[in-house]
Amino acid sequence: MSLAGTLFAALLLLVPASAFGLDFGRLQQSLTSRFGNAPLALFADWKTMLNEGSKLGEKEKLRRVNDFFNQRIAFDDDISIWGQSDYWATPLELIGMGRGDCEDFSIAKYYSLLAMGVPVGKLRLVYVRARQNGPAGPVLQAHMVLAYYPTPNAEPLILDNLKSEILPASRRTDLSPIFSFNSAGLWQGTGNQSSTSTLSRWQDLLMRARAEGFE
Amino acid sequence: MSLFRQIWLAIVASALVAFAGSFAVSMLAGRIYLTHHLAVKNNDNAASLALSMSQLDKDAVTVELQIAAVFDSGQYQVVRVIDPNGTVMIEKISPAPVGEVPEWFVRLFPIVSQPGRAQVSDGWSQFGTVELISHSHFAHFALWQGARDLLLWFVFGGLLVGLLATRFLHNNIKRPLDAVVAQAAAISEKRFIRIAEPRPPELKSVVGAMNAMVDRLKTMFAQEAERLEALRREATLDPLTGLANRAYFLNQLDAALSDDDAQPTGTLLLLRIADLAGINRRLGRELADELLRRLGAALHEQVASHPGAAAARLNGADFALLLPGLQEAAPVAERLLATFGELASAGLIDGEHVGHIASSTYLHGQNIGALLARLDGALATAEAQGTLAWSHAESSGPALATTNADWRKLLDGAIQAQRLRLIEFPVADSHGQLLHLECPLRLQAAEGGEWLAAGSFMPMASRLAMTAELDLAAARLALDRIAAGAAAVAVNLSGESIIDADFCQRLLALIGARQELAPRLWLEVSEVGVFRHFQEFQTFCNLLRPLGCRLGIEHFGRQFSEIGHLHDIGLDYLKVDASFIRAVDSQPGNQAFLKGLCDIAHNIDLTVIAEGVQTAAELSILPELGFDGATGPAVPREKA
Repeated sequence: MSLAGTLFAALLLLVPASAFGLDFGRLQQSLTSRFGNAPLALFADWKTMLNEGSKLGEKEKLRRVNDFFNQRIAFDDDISIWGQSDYWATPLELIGMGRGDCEDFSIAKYYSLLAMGVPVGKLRLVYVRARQNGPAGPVLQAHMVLAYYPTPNAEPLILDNLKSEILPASRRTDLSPIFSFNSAGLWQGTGNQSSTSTLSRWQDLLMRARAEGFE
Repeated sequence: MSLFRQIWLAIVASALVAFAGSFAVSMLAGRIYLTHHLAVKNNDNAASLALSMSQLDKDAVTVELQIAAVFDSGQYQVVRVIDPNGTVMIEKISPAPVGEVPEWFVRLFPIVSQPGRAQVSDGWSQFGTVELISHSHFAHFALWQGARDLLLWFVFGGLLVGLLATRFLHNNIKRPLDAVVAQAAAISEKRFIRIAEPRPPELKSVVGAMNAMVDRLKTMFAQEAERLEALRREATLDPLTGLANRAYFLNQLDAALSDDDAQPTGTLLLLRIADLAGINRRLGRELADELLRRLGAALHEQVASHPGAAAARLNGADFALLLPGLQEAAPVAERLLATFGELASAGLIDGEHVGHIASSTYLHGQNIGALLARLDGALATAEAQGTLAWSHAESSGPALATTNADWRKLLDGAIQAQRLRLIEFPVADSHGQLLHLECPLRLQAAEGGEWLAAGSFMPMASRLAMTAELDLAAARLALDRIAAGAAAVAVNLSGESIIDADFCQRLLALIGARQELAPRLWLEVSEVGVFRHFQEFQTFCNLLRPLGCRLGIEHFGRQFSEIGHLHDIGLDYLKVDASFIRAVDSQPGNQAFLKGLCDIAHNIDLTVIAEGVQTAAELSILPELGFDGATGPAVPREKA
């Protein structure tokens, strides 16, 4: 581990993980430098949606965000998008590619809601086991959704890319929750590329998003 | 602070700085690394705990057991579960174990264990958050061990490097530097020594310069000595035979009869080729010269086999042989008669008469004229006896103790009873101021008896190897005299004493015990003693010089060509033999030689003193020749 890297990491450790704020100028720069000007229209719409939505109530925010991604982003799997079996894309990467899988949808929604002012404590990314009807009967599938808890003990609302409607958890009998997480109270890694092997996917993603401009 | 110490300290200081720097850097880096990994571990373990809790029942016992299972592994400082509203549901805390790592180290390098958190869910509803904080003492222990290992390695490495550096410095800096300093010190003491050039270029050029200076001086010495040797030969030797000339021989004879340390008796022989003029006429000049050379060679042989002997060609056909200390002339005379016979057989002497020899013993203090007259008479007797004859003229005088046993008893008795004293002769500088008192030893043969001069007993003491005791006594008496107020005192040491290592140590101890008097003590050894054992004399000088006493050579001049050796032994003075000083006012040859001798001696900072100055005329010319001082009958005693 290089000395500079460790010093930098030591400094970051002292910064508490706080609510995300967005620097659109920097995000746009990150976007165009990787994906060119093609996704700029989508990016502009996303920005508009965020700006407008931030004045609305939380229920409305959920609807806007859920609809935006479910309608504007195409579903595809990681292999065909990124050439690897399981890749967690940042919201910017999702916008840049215009395609994503369930994690990418959930993550982009999560970031967008945070940016619109929804407290991090009300949001959970949830690993779920989804049962879907295939041609040869029901199929079990690993899936990820975003859960919204109006109060800590309340029943959550589920934002999913399989069903475009936001429904309470009790109505989603096709989903069984396994494990949930968010970025509250999480130690967010060091920002040191050489040490990513010691980080979870989630921490890795948080770090990459921060590098793109999600502060 | 010495140069060596400065370099050494610089090395030590840079090693310390290097250690402190790398120690700080590795401790800091280690601390950050450990902090990072502790945080990762907390996170991961919190996540696995939360995952397994999410899957299992949420009744109080199951939850409690799961938390306990993790906590009881002993690695955790805190394990707690917080419900969604922020209330602590379960909390287990263990204090940090103490002892392994010192408190100051923990304070100096704090390692913060960043809590790991993960959410536990119960179906779709939130159950709570688990929070884990690992103990940091494992990390501290690792850091502490690292620090100790590092320190150990640095101590080991530091010692090794220090040892190597010291060795390197010693061999490559200190030793050459010491040698250079020693050479400089020697040169400042007028010992012009050469040393091997050291490897460091800076020192090399210094030593190179000093060696070059010494070499120049040596060359100058050698050339000057050669030139003066030629002058001396011209002034004192017969060119054909290489024997002394008449004037120089008479000086030597005079010294043998009157010098204080001359032997009490001796034998003088005169040889005459009966008809040199006839031989010259009949056989030619070349054969006549050959005859003279071969007779001269026979006399040289006699001189070589009798210490202190001298031979001369007095005039055309007359030769003389002076044998101090010898009382039985017959063997020498017979050998010389045989030589005459051989020369005649070889056809170098033709005609009726071959040669004649006269001999006579003499006593110290006898008149030189009377002695020569007695020999003339004996020569006439020999001539009357035949073509090749020898005649001996006895001189009347008191007989001294003659056998070795008697002498040993006499000397032992005098040493035991301390019947020894010093007499004194003033040695004055060119302004008549006293330089020192020359103090020869006197020995009383018996209680209330006659006091013998050094010349009477020293040759016997030398033969009996008893000079060491006498010389030590003389040195002791000289120190007493200095302590009693004498400005400076010179004593003679015999050549036999200085080759005796035991004597040297005792003398060193004697003078060392009263070292404050040493600068006023002058120690001198005769030229014969010095050059017979030059190596030992040099050792003696090196031993005594640090005490501060003055070291010199007396009766100097006969072995003048050896002066080249004197430049590197650090002498203080030379006393030039009386035979060169006698009648110096009327001998231009000797003057030229002595002037050169003084010049060359002054180049190496030697004080030059003339011995045996007899007349006011001799005394007055000495400053002009370069002498720094004089001793002898003409030097006024009242100035002492």
